[in-house]
Amino acid sequence: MGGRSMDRKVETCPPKVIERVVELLMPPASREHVLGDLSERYMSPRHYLVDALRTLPFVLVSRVRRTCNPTLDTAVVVMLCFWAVIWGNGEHVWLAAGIPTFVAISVLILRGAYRANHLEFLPPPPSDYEWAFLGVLLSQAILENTFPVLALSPDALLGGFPVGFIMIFFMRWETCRPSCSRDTCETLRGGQR
Amino acid sequence: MADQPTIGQFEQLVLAAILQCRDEAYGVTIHESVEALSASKSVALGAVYATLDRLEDKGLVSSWLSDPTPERGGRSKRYFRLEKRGERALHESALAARRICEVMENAWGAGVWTGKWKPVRQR
Repeated sequence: MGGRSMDRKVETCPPKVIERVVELLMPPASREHVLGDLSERYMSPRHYLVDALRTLPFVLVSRVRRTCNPTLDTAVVVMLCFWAVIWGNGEHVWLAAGIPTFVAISVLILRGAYRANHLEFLPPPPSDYEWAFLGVLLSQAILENTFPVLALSPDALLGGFPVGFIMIFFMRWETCRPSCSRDTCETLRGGQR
Repeated sequence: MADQPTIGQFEQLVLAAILQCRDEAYGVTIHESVEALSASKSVALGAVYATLDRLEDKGLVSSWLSDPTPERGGRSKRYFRLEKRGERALHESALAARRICEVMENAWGAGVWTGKWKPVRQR
């Protein structure tokens, strides 16, 4: 079985531009070996691209599953309710609160998946929240220009950001749990310091 | 034994593929082996990676990165090997499959393994 792939001599390699794009899209923790395997299977630029695009969703979902905080679903509900309450009793209140919540949580999930050497027992760094903040701001700017009725009010934005993110930060901090043995975790924790 | 994780059919195939590839068990060879084991079904390379990650989380396999090799664009290989829990899980799955085989042979006779066999509705 292994011999079959060993016999397959790689005459050419994928075009640098395509390889670079795939490299950027691939989560760093899986990048090295997945790109190597894709190069080994290379037959033509089209085949390489199709192979990479078929592989990427599985790798990304797997990284999200491995890095996603277990209480993120609770955080979504808390953040959604919080923004909805701040926003008040206006029309489309749940949809208006749901959009920034979805954006913020998506950014936090993707940041976790695309972080190199993610250690699940360590809390996510504060820079994740800056990216989520930027994501929400961008989505609100787009909404303001397209569907103003769904954009949060300035009060809701100013009040919701600090309190909402602080709540989620502490929820994620508290629920960081080791997925490895105690000894391994201690070794890795020592290496992180 | 109580904490032995349950594994699905595709996970069994991937564990068997790692066992088959021995010291050369990395993404490409495991994928080829899984495709061969699953007969006519096409298997996505990404599905194999996702399953390998899940098996590693369950403590059934372990992995490590090799030194970079020039024929792969200077990229490393991620090698896998079965852990004791993985060997035990695969063994239990194989025993269960054998018991199923015995039931089928008792019910349908030895002809069940020939290509001429057709489903017979049980009365």
